[in-house]
Amino acid sequence: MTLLDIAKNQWARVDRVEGDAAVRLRLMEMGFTPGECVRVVAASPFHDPIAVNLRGTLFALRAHEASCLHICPMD
Amino acid sequence: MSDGLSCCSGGAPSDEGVASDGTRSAAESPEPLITLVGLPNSGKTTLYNALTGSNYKTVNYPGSTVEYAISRFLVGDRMMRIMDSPGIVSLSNQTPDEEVTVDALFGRTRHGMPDAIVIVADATQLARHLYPARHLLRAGHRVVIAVTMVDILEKRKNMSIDISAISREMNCPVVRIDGRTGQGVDALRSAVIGTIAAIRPKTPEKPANPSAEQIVDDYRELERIEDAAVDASRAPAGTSKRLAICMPDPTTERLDRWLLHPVFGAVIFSGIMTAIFTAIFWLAQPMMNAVDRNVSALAVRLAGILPNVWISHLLTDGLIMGVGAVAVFIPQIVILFFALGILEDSGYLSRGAMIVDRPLAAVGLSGRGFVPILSGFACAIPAMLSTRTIPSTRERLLTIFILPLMVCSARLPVYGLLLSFLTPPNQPWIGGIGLTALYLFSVVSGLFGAFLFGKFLKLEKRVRPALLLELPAIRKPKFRVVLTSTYYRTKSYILRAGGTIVVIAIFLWVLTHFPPRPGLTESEQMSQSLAAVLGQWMEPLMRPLGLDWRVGVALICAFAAREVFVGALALVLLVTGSPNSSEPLLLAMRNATMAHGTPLFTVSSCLGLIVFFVFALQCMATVAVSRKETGGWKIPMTQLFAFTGIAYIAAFAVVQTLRATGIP
Repeated sequence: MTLLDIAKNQWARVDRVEGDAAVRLRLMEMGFTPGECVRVVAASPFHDPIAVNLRGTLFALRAHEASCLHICPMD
Repeated sequence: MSDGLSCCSGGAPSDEGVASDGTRSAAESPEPLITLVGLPNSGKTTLYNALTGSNYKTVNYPGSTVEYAISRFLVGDRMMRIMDSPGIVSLSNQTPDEEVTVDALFGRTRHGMPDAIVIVADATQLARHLYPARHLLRAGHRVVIAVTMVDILEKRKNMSIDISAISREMNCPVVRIDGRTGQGVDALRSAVIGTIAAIRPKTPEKPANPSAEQIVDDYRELERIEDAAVDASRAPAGTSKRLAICMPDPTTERLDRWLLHPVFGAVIFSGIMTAIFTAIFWLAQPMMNAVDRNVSALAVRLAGILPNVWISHLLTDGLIMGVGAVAVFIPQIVILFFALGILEDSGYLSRGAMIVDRPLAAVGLSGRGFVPILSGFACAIPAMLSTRTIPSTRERLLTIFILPLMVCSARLPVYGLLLSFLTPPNQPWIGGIGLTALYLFSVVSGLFGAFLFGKFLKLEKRVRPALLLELPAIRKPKFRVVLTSTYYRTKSYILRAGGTIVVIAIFLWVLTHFPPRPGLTESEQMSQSLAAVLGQWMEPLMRPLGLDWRVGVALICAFAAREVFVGALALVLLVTGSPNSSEPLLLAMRNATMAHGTPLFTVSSCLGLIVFFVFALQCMATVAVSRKETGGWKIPMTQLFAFTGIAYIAAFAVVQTLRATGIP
């Protein structure tokens, strides 16, 4: 599942980052590394863009970038 | 002040961005160069302003394609140069803004290799903010880490930070600072002095882009350092330490429930925008009138003192009125920059960009284009400069393309004149509705223009541009910080726009006053000038619009700045007395007739003129900035000819349709 499929405010771990090389490099260098905890904090209509909590800050990601982030939910 | 989404990069401009002569000037200036580096929103520019204080000299480099600020300041008895540059996430640059910084970090500018780098790191997101530090240290740079936002970590998240642990782990000096209050700035200065005394083991070189494994390894190491440095034992229990560090602060979390809400978020956003627009137009009006009055008074007084020869007229009517044309917009620009400064320092600006991203993305623009478009309602020039924070070249060029369509403040006096001519005295609300409609129409035509131009723009057509926008913690804006950024941005605008407008104003003065014929009144002089000759050439072009050569002359003059149209029209229509009060001009417009006796200004010809001003790109300063920002003539020339062509055709269609249906 990707970051687009998870309920608001539920923590998840990044499993892997996909997409083209530039987006992957950018997402990973921004801190979306496998194993790190993420959480969707707010979503615009149609989940585009969404606000994601990562490493102490929030990011606005478009649906396309969010779909590059494959995750597994934490309990 | 942040630069993740800033209105134009903080500080002062700028540099030519020339990479070739780096070594030469390094030898010329023995003063050590300190470069500030940080992620967007790390508080870097605030620290820059705190470090340089009031007793610095900012050096401007004209002719720039890129923008950063350099100041000289005294540390002890040693003069140093300090450079502020746009924020970066890593050394693998992806935007024009970041390229500037990375080039500067590895000595590829005329300022040479930095002698030390101060990394500004946010204590609440240490791992991400230490990431570029790690790479710079590895590249061989001398680094000092300045930790900011400790107040948020302590007060809001109830955690504390051990500065010495970071210093031990990263193996470089670390200082706790608060640029907003100036705390820790002295300690930072001495840490920098200590650092540049050390010998640099090798000449720093830009590393290759890291592999996925390297990024993961780096972050693992940085998480370990973050864990060692941050003490979360006093934080509310219930979550693990790792999650507690990952959470944003509770205040931001609470406010974002409203600010980013799908419905209330949009309502709050509209409210804020309405407030800003109200301020720009109602608050600025008395100040603009005062500037206008004072400039005219100055010109009149000087004209009284100086001998009555053409060079004094050039000084009073050409130069002073040209300066006045720039100065009259300063109140609006200042209010806009002040409002943007508050939104930026409070952390709201990025949230606004997130809210408008979806509608803008539908036509190929980005939420990051929100600030440029907003600035475009004051002036297209600062708006174009502020597109540099848009990472996708395609989205950036599309934004620059549509900016001239926004109702900039120079169009207001023109619309004001024409609408008051059209508004019957007993129905004053018609003018208000007309103006509101023009504003809404400019947004609609801008979005449509982006959509249309996007079809023709081949560049990066298949790439899906990213947003990846950081939403910083929400804070109460600091008045002093906002004022400082307003000052720099206004200054940058005046320096950039001012020169061009003044040169064009003088050129137009020559056109309207040459060949000089002594003994004529100003209006007679103008009706026999070079501009009048040009206007008469234009007569065949003006006639389909129901206008004659006199309006043509005023339109030529409007190429200096659109609002010059009003004054030029007053002159050419033989208005005696002050061209600034619109009543005699309105009267002259009512009495003006075409060669064959029919009225010149009718409902149809005025509406046609308004439509012309809606689309036409008449501002040469905008064309010049567009060329500089897009790096070629293609886009500015497309803008100039397409917008002016559309303006002419649309005005023609409006005038002829109205006349065909019996409206004069």
